[in-house]
Formats: sequence, C-alpha cells, structure tokens
Amino acid sequence: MSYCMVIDLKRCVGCHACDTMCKQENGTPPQVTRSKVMKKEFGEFPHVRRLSIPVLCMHCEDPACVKVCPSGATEKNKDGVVTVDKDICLGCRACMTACPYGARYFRANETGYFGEALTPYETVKYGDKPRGVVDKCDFCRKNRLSQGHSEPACVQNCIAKARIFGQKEDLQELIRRRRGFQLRPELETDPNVFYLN
Amino acid sequence: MTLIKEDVWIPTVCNMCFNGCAIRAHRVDGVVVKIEGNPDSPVGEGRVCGKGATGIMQLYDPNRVTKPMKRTNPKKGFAEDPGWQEISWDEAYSIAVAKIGAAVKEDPKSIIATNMVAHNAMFIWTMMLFKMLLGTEWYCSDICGAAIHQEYERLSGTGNCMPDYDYCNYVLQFGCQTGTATRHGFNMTVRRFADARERGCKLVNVDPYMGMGAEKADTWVPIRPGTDAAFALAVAHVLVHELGIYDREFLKNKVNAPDLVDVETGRMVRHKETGKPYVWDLSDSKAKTIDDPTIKDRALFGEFKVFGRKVKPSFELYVEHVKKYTPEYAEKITTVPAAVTRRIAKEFGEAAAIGRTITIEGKEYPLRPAAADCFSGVTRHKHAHHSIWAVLTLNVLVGSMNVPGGLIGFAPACEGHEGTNWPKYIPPVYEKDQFMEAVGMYYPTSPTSVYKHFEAEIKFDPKDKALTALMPLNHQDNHFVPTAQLSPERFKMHAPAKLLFSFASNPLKNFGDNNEMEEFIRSFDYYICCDLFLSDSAQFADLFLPEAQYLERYDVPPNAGFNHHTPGGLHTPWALSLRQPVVPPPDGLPSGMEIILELATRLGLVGHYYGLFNFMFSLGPEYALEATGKYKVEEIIDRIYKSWAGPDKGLEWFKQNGVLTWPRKKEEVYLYPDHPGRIPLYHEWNLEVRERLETELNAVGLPWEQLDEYVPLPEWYPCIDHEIPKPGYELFPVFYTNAVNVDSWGQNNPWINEINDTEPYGYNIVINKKTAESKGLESGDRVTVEASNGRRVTGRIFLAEGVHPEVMGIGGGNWQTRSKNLPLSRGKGSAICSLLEVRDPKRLDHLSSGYDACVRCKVTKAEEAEK
Repeated sequence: MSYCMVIDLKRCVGCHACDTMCKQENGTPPQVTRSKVMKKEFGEFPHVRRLSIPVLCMHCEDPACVKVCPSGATEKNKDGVVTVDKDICLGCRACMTACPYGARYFRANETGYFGEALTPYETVKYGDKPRGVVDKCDFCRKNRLSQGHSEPACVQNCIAKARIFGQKEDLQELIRRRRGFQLRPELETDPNVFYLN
Repeated sequence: MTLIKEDVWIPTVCNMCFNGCAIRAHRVDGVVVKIEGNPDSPVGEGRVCGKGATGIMQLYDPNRVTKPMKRTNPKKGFAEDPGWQEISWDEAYSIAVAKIGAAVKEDPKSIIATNMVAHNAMFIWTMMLFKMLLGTEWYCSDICGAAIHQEYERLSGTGNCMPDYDYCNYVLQFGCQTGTATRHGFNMTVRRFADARERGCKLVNVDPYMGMGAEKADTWVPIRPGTDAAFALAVAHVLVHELGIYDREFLKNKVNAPDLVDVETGRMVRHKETGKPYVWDLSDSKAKTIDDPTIKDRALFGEFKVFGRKVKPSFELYVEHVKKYTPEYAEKITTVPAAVTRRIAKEFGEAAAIGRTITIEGKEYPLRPAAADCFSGVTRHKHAHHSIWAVLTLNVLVGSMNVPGGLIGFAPACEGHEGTNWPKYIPPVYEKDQFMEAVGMYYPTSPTSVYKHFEAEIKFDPKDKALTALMPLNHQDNHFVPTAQLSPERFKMHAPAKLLFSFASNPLKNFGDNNEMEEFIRSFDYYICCDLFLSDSAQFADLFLPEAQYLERYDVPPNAGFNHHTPGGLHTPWALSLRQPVVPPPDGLPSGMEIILELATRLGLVGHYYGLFNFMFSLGPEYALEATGKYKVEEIIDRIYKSWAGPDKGLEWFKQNGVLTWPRKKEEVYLYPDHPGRIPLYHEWNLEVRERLETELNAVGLPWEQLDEYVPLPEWYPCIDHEIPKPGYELFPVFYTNAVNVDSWGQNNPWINEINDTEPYGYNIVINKKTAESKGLESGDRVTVEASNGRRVTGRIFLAEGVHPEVMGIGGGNWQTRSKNLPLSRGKGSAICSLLEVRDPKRLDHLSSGYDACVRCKVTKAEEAEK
C-alpha cells in the first residue's frame, strides 16, 4: 500500500492556498517551500494557454533521493511516504542534486522570516527543523496523518477542492478514467502524485 | 519535553481581506500555531485562501506598532525621521479629540476621513462617526467599484451580482477574475465555480492580461484596454441583428423595453397625471399605461402615434442603436477578431436557452444559464459607467437577470430569521415606471432610492470635495476627493480641508501618482492615522493610533453589510459569525471599535452614536442602546447578536459556537418571475439629469466633462490615450491582482512576499514577448516606464505570451513602498498607479468617479533611460 495524491488541474486555480497552508501547518522556515505552484505557458499569443501546476514531493515509488543518501536519513517508508530523519541527515545535499522535482530544501541558518529574533509562532514551529539538514514534504505524515487526520493540510485546505488523497489502489480507477499523468515519467521514478487535466 | 498546559481552538473571523471567512484559530500555551477554515460556515466552507493562511505572520510581525505615538519633527518626507514619541492612550485621545473638535467647530467639512474596504467593520464604524454624525467629508481610499454597484442596483436591486454558479452554463466575464482569483466571497465561489466547470460550464474571459480568470477560461479574449463597451455592443449586435436571439417575454414583462419613446425628443410619452409611461398593446392596437390590466401583448417593435407624437418602443431604439456596432466595426476598436465576437455571441445566446424552465422546490422558474459579468477592470476607466452598462445589458437581452442560471444579486431579499430582529427586506417598487428599487449596498435599514435620486434637485455644494451633486448617477466611492482637495479653486471649493483621519488605509499608495498623493496628505494641517503598521501614508502622520490585529480583537460586523455577508445562491445558507480575540493584544492595544467609541465619548457624541447604531444594525427595541447609557464593548456586541440571532444567542453563545447558519429560501435568491419591479434598458432619466446638471454647472461656472454621455443607451467612448498620443508611447499599464494580494494590505507579510518574490509574474511587469523583443528587452531587465504625460516609474520585466501586445500587466499597481517600517516589501514591484494624474481630473470618469488607467507608455531599459 502506498499513499497517493491526485491533483485536478481543471479545478485548480493556482491560488497558493496550498502553499501558505503548508507553511502554516508545518512551520517551514524561509526558503523552504514544500508546496509551491509552477506556471507554464503553451502556444503563442493570441492562441496561448497557461497552466498552474502545484508541486510538492512526488513520493516516488523508485525515489532518486533514497539511492544517493549516504547516511540512510532519507527513506521510502512502507506507507509510500519518503521522509528525512533529521537526526541522521548529514546535510550533504546529494539528495537535492538527485531529486528531479526540486522538492528538497536545505536550511543553512537559523534565521526566521523577520531575521534573527524568531516570532512566538516560529519559536514553537522551528524546533524540529535544525540548521544544516534537508527538509521536504512528508505528506503531513508527522503533523497530521500520525495524529488521526486523513489528509495532508494542502488537501484539506484546497479551496477549489482540486486535491484528492488516499491509497493508490483506491485512486487507480480515477487516474485511469481521467488519463492522469505523472511529471517527468521518462525518468522512471514513478511518482505517487498524479495530475488530471 | 515541556508539558502543554493549554490547547484550544477558538472560532473567529479572518481579516486578511474584506471577505471575512469564518476560521478557527489553534492556541497552544498562549501562542497561535494554526488558522484553519471553520467548516460550520458557508463563508469559506472550512478552508482559507492563500492570504487567510498567512494571518499568523501578520499577528506576530515585529514591525507592528503597539503604542500610540506623536510626531515631534514637523518636517515631513520620506527622508525625514518623524521623531515618533510614544505617548499614553489618554494623551493620544486628548490630542485627537482636541483636533477633531476644533475642526468640527470651524466646519465639519474641514475634515476628510478615509477608509479602505479590507477592514470593513471599521469602514462602517468610521463612516458612521465621521460622515454620518460629525458631517465630515469621507471617501474610499482604494479604487473601489465605482460605477458598477449602481448598475447592479438598477438590475438586481442590490449592489453586487454574481453568476448563479449552481445552474449557470456559460460565464462571460469582463475585466475580472470572479470565482478564480478575486472578489466578494472569493473563497466561497471558487469551489462552486470549479464544480460548475467540471460539469461543463464554459468560461469566457475578456481581459487584456491573462490573469487567473483567463487561465481557467475556455476562451480568452485579449482586448485592448478601455474598449469593453465596443465588444459588448458588438455581441449585442450579433444577438439582435444576426441571430435574432433575445428573450421577448422577459423584455416585454420585466424590462422597460416596450415603453414608448417620442422619437424626436428621446423622452417617454407619459400619462399627464400619474407620469406613467405607455406601451402599445398589439392585441387591440392601443397605447396603454404600463399598469393597465387589460394589456395582453406589449409591442417591442413598430412606429405608432400617441398624443400626436411619433413613438417607438424603446427596444426598437436599442436595436437601431447597436446596428452600427458590427463585429467588424468593433474589431478596429477592440482588436478582437470579428469571427471571435460572432462565435461568442452565438455561444452566449444559445447557452441562455431562452424559453427553458426549471422546477425548483415545486416552483417553475425561467432557466437562463448564461451570465455576463464584470468588475474592477471595467470600472477603472474613464467611461466606466457606459462600459458596465453595455456589458450588463447583455443579461437583460437574454432574460438572465434575477433568474436561475443567470446573473443574480448577492442577497437581494431576506425573509428574516424567525424569532429575531434579523432584517427582512425586498427591493421596493418605484411606482411611476414600476422599476425595482435597491435595498442598498450595506444595510437594508438605509435603502437608497435609485430613481427618486434622479428626480432630486442638483445643487452644487462648495464644501463637498466628493462633488457628489455633480455625479447624480453614481454616488458612492467619492474618488474626486483628492483631486478637489489639491485643486480647490478649479472646483470652486470653499476651502481645502485641514484635518485628515484615516483608518486601516493607505491613501498615499492606493490611488494615482504617489507624489501627488503625498502632496494631498501634506495639504492637511494635521493627520491622524490608525493602522497596524507605519505604512507609506503613516510616514506623514502627526498622530498614530495603533489598532489590535484581527486575532486580538472584536469587530462588529466582521463581514461587511448584509449584502456582503454571504454572496448567495440557493445552496449557500445565511451565516452570522463573530470575530473575537484569540490572544490578548500587546501592550493592551484597543480594537477599532474601542478607539471609535472612545473618540465618540470624548467628543460628547456617544449617545447620538448609539442612536445611529440602533438604526444601522436594526436593533430590536429590547436591545436598543440608551442614549444616556454607558456600555462596555462586550455589552454592545451581546445586544447586537441577541437582536440578530435571538435571546439565547448573545456574545457568550457566539464565543463558544462561532457561527449561526440557517437555510436560504428560493424566494430570497431568485427575484423573478414573482417580483413586480421591472429593470431598465432605456435610461430616459439621463436626458433630464443632463439638463439639470448643465443648468447648475452654468450657474456655478464650473468646468466639467462628459455631459454628452448623459444619453439613454450605452455607447463606447474612446479613453484619452486610445489613439497613440506620441510615437513610441504605445503600451497601456493594466493592474491586476491574484489570490494572495489585496491592494497594499498584505505587503509586509513574509509568506505573501515570498510568493511574490519567487513567482515570475509576482513583482514583475509582464510584457508580451514579441512586443518586448521588438524593443530589445529581455526577461529580468530593469526598465523605466514613462507615460505620455511624462511621469515615470521603474520596474523589472518578465516576458510572456499571455498578455495583449499593447499591454503591460502589473500586480497591485500600488506597490514599491518606501516606508522603512515595511522592510520586507520595501521597493518591490512597481507603483504603476504613479503614472496617473491626481490634481488634473482628466482621467476620472465624470459620471461615476471611475479612474482611468489608460495612459500610453514607453518602456526602455533603465540604464538607457538614465542616459
């Protein structure tokens, strides 16, 4: 069994509510953007289309990051979630180079969004994000799934209801019917984040 | 490991924009660690938008001011240190009251108060104290929806409309991103519109810039700025002249389309005693007054003789009027290919499914699942009044106003809430023409008669810097105030105002040329500024009164007026919620309610304020505030909620439960077919208004513009720079917003700033790729934008295909802050609004106070411009 996310680009309005809710839920420090929205244009004026593509860790079946991690801090868990054990991570950043989706972030210092002095919120939230290690999306495994919630914060908060989260086997039919696709499938990492359009 | 002593969720209401979504805040050991949507409320449906989730960063922003301060350095300017001196609240109130009291004694109009709609509770409270009680001048410092609310009022009885997403199959939107990035109830409409698109609803977005509305659209129609009216009139041309698609039954029975107009004068023929217009009854070939019960079939076409005059139904005049707006004619104006116009007109007309009905809860309604909508992009133009009128009239043609699937008012009617004093209202009828009147934008307790207003005497008031009397068609946003304050002689003003009071607004940034707006603020002897931060405007303040942040305070009402509470739809219940403190404010900061009440008390006016309060919030007699009473803020809130929600649902109930909802009835959503009021197609009153306005202008000797636009049918007029005024100056700036930005409201918020920083469209000026390349410009270039009027701003460009070749798309338009106290956003983005004149009124729509951004510009690399 494997957790899986489906993002319906027909519903998505690229509003960044996923991004800021992820920041809030996980208390990620500056420059760590586990959730973000990419924009891509197709065609030429006036026959132009633009697509907003929300991205996060793809939690690949065959993750490139796991293979290159020298310490074993990055692992593919039984539930399909790729995690970093921050107590073990050496901060070598090999995983950042290996990840084809730019889904990993390095925390180089301990400053907050307003500089050295952390706000009360940042003081509470940055405790588990030490300097010198790599950070990434864990499908809210630590903050939500393990606390009894059924879905990550970006899914719960999607104001267009464009995200569906569940077990891959339960979502297969939807993915097949709507011709869901993965990003950069040619790399054969087999992501567990699928897109519908 | 520390032991958690406290872990609570508190229901309250967001204030990261004016929508006021219901939220729940998670407080652990005194620290707010999370804000979520409150699933108990339809306002947000348990989710928050990208702005709403950043509230914690505003709450804990160390740049917030927590103590009142007075200026000690009399010299004002961005290079000057104001020399802020912290003072006690007692001293702060004493100074404020002395200044306000002295100014009122001299002349209430020597005070100008201003608000921004984002803090809508204080919008109401400040307006009540200053404009309504003290009689001061007041204006809306952000460029709100000038012109549009009034046209919505005439068509739906309320100041805001929306497509009926539950049943709509075709949304034709102009200059807005409703339901995808912006507008009232944004977070409520996104899910509903996504559902509609998933079931096949088509979206056509007419906009020079590819915002989110265009990105999600099935068809994007990139149009030259300021030409929406020409496109809409061409769509109308195709519908009536080429396709014959218009709703005859609707036009005959719900519109003044059959009313007979004297061909020579353009005036209706009217009954000499009742003043009622006539129609031609085809069943017995007779002219009859519109309320004659024997009428069987009203003529929409034909030429008749009534009282010896040659008359035609006004619909025929409309049809003749749009004859010249062929798609080919419009193409030259709009750049929209004629074939595209024809396709969209056909799709829109066919989607309206004229003749179809739907049965809802046992009642049969017309079903017209097509809606033409517009908002900010169309309102921000010189001829906004006409553009909006031309666009919204498309709904009148296909019969989609106020019926399932079409364009409906947010909350046009309310049957109250049983056992409470929650207001009951429905638009009344203006007897003479049987027009539907309006229930007002905010509170149904203070309805504004649309049509009696047109009959009123026009009397110029040399103390009124809003020049309200000179804009009889539109009377809301008062955008002439800065212009009249800067040019008092030109506008025959009695004297410039001397005291400025702003609450939660940034007048320097949220209008035109920042330098002229700086002069505007400097023109006052004294400036009292209430805000969270020392914004650009606050740099010029003499007294600064900081307010508690929304997670630290009460606000009543947390949403704006009833109309804004819950943009409707049959499946969206009514909702009432409470904004309450989640954490105590630093240094005991007062809420805006407390600041205004303290000012009212010290001015000796609190008894009158309570009286106004009883009226505005329709408090039942058992909850009304006594003029001589002394009330704590909590007690006032308790009375309001008990009055609105019932005796068992006061402050304590709302503190615990947060939200009260009750179902909306179909009669509260769809006014037609039952409502007897009609809507206008032919605006006859414009002719009379023009005559009276011209007489008054001549008497006063005031220069004024656009008198020729007081005509009965909508037209397209070119904006000032429609033709390229100087070679090389061919680009128009177009402001837009996205879902994470609201004017200058969230600018210093680090999470919003991070998105604007990293997204290529964020802080950049977006230029069409081919246009930019022809000028040798590349993505990332620093550029100087010079307008044809000589004004300049700087910025960085990003090249894209999703922008009209004559257009620069700019987020915000009011960015590039200069305040040192907003360090995260300082200098970022481009203050494109600085290209627009303030002192010179030439870019203001003299019919609606809409503000025209159509100034042609030249773009050059920054270093070249410096040479």
